[in-house]
Amino acid sequence: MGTASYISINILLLASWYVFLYGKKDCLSFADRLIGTFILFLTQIVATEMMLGVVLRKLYPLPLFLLNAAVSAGILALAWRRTGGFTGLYLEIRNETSRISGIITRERMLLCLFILFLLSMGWMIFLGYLFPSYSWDALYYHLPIVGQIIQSGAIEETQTPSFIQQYINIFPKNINLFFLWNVIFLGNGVVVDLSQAVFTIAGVLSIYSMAVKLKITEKYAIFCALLFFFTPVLILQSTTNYVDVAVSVLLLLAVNFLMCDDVESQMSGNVTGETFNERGIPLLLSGLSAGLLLGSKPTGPLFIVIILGVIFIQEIIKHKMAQGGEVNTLKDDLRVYALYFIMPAFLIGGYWYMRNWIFYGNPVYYMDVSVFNIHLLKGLKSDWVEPVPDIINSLNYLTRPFYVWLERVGYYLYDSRLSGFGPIWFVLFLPGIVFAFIYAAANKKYRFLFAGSLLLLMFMVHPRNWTTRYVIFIVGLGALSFGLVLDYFSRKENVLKFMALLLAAYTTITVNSPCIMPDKIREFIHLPAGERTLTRLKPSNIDMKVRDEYGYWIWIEKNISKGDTIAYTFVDTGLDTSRPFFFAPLWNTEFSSKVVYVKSDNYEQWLKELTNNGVSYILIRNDSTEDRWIEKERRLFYSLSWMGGMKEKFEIMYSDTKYKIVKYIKV
Amino acid sequence: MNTLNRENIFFAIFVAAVIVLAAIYFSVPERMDFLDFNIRWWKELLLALKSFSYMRIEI
Repeated sequence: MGTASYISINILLLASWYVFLYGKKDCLSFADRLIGTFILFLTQIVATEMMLGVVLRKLYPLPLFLLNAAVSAGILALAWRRTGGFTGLYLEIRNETSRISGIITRERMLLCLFILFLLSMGWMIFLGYLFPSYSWDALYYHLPIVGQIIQSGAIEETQTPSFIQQYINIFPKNINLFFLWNVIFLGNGVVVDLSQAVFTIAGVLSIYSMAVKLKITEKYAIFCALLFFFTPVLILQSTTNYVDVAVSVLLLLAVNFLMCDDVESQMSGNVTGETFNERGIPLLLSGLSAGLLLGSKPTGPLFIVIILGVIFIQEIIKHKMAQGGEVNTLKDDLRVYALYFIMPAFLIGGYWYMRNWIFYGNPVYYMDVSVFNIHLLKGLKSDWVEPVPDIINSLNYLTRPFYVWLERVGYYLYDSRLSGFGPIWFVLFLPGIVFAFIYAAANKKYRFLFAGSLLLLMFMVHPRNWTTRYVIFIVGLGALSFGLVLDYFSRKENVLKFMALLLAAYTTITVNSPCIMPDKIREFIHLPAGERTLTRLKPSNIDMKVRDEYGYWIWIEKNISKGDTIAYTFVDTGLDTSRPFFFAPLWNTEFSSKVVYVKSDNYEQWLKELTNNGVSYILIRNDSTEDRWIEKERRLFYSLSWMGGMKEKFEIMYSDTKYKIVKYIKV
Repeated sequence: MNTLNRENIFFAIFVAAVIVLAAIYFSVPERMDFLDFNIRWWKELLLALKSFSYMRIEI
């Protein structure tokens, strides 16, 4: 039932928005309407979950299903009349598919690249399906966010002294709400780690669409879009519950729709008035992408500031250079941006910052806010959570990214560390960017200059631009630039395409992570779905640090069932990466149990809180206060058990050298 | 003719840059460790495929 509702609601949402955008085909290309459908699909998910989780506090599968079904049915009913029936929709999809497949099959190297892409995608989806979510941040906070919302049916603060819980409280959760969407109907986390793979496909589509807007020949547009995919960190992170791929792709989607503004024609004065559809719809989609991005990561505001800054500069230049024939004044244009870009962006992404402002007095509570060493707002941390490696500290601003791009590492990892962009970036895209900027400046290709400057500026001001996973969008600029290079050298395209194909093949066979080794793949294929667990995988990224935890994780996997509540009694008050306390394994694999923190200064109060929270099991550290209380209680019980009529309050279910799990029996 | 010559020169410069960057990228000392890891990974995959039992696949 869960699978049927998950599939049907997704189809309904996507179909309704596709039909809605079909009516805008005069201003949006087929690819843009596919991307737009994805943006509106995500927006609806985030908006309905926020409505149910924040306002109504009823974020459960049935209300979520009904609300979305009602919204989508309404959109479908309204938009259907303008489509001219099912035939038009079907014919368009069929014609576009055969046109694109015709282009791909005519070009041998493009076909080879496309086959490589399909194989990699297939392998990625297979691994995502086969293995549970194992990545560090997923276990630390992305999945616990999902677990906490599902158990309470509300998006709310959870107050504990834990550092990571405070981080969870202040984290913008738009993408986590998409993770939740991929768990709540299915009642398991089987596909949740593939959530970012959808963004990867959207990213490839957006590069293609941008390349077409730059008037790059279509076969090269497809070629460079496929090359974007062969970025190791993009491939590896597509099967994890991180949010970096989503953030970078949302930026590319926003830029793609901003490029609908025909800057080149306007600057040459060849412009007539634009209708709402021509200007408003692309801007609205761009604003929604930017809003989703704003609410996805604490660095979101930085992206918005840069986008707005570049738009403002572009508008000023555009109006100064326009050679007569201007229809709108600068003020008019800025008003349009405020209405169709800033407002939707703020509405879909601003909530998390307003919330932080109200609760903590700092909208970006993630870290301290200082300007020119003047401390303005206090944050959770004074600096980034992850420390800078020594080698990076010894380098300067310019040499840091180059060191990372050389990939002096033994293997790739989903969180990139000191690698992640692969050889296509370093060998083909870097010289491509230099060439493309010179070419665009010489030939007044303003659209490229606008999009390129935006992405480049964003990269330059990003405080951690040497961490490749934070700046995946810059590979998008590289792909577009290489598209321009192919277009310019079209007579010698085969040399360039052959080099690109070789490097793509090299990337495909080397993008292996030590977290997923072949013997584990074989083992997991032979296991029933319910036994493909984290404790069986023992992924190398966390294995050394959680060997003491495996015992109680296994016990939870096997024994905690729907409706059980497990209380934990200890927290990490700082960020200790040498001994992390991962929250996610405290939930059962279906996310149908509850996890609460219960701590008190005195025993009686603690018992009261255990009862009030409906606790069934308690996780304790040996020799902790709770351990001593329980031991005392158990000694008392056994010394008086001869009297009869007494019930044991605590029953030890699991015990190792560090932890115990105790069943709490309400007397 | 001039345009064609200019294009040829630009192309030569671009390809030269690509070759130099490829040489730099693939010649870093750590590349051997990287390839070693991947060769081990693929050998392990081949071994896994040899001992693979189609009869015991679980969906």
